[in-house]
Amino acid sequence: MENRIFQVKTQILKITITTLLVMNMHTPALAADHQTKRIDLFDLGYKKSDLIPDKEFQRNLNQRRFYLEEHQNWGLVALGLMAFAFTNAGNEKNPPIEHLIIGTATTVAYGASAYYGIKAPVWRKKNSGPATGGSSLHRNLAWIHLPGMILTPVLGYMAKKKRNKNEDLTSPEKYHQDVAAVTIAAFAISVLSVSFEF
Amino acid sequence: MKYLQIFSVLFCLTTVTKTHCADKSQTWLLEKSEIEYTVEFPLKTVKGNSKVAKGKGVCDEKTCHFLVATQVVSFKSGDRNRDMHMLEVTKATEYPLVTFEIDVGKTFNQKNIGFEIEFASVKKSFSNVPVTIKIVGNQLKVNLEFDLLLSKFNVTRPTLLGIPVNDKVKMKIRSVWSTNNVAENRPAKKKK
Repeated sequence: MENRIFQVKTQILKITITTLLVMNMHTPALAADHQTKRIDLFDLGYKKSDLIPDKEFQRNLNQRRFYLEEHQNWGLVALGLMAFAFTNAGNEKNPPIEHLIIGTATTVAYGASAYYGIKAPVWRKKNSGPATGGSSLHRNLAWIHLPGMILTPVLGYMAKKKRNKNEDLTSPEKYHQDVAAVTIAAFAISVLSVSFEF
Repeated sequence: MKYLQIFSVLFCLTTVTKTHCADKSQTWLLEKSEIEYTVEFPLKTVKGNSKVAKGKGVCDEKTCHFLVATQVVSFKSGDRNRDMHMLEVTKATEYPLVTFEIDVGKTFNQKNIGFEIEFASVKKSFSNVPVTIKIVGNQLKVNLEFDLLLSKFNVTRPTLLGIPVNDKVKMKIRSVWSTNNVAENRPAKKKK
């Protein structure tokens, strides 16, 4: 009886060992299994924070879009009014009253455009550095048309006062038209510089 | 007892063989890369590129699986305003990465390959794309060019003077990979 039990035990042991051996042969090595697995973004060194939506960035982009669209709309209105005011100036000695009204409207539209342009947020965290390309020229031209937009109405007002007194225009008010021309040119180039970018 | 001895010898042999095979598998790490896009208008052509892609490839006995990813925000076109607009239309805040998954034969003698791109949450497969693969020492130089359609990735085409950009965007990828060179792909420590 004991001999019979021993034989059964030996058989079980043999079956177990053979099974283990077969399993070992057919199971890939740990290293090989690691090598053949699909790579994911974490294997490349990206962190979870790199993959989740950035809500602050999205809010920033939405705000920026709103302000820049308003900046563009008011800028185009200002350019149209500027050109109208320039052609409407008529004889320098006797500009019509519409010139004053259109000039004032131009200043308001320009001011609104400038406000929205300055208020547009810049994303410094992810896209830092100074403006480049067409937007750089667009910004730099403000150093010409902004002083021009301040000087033009001031010189116009001075010229009007002198004309009302029947006095001859002397420096600086006699440059009202020249300053206006330079301002319109700078502003038009500024508009064009971003019209050929998207 | 004798059976146990035979088992031990066979067990060791199979294990050693497998480990040897495992050592034969390769890991490729992206050393240098440039991913360039070209967008065309009737009046203008704009190029933007990213040079900070991360990539890795693993090969078994027959095939290699490569994954390359870069942040959409890393693409620069020379105009920051345009780049910000690009982030808007590509929904980069929601889907910050563009990924390329490539499966190629380990021999690297292919003239055309197939791969998958995931961009702006859309995954698209490309096949039969001409590729140049050169093996130089322990380096692999892979260059490929292909066209993708913005409409296929649900990207709203930006407009210029009311005219939208061409739907077709030319892509150029230049990359240099090194094999089993883990140390070099790790970010360099900042100097104090």
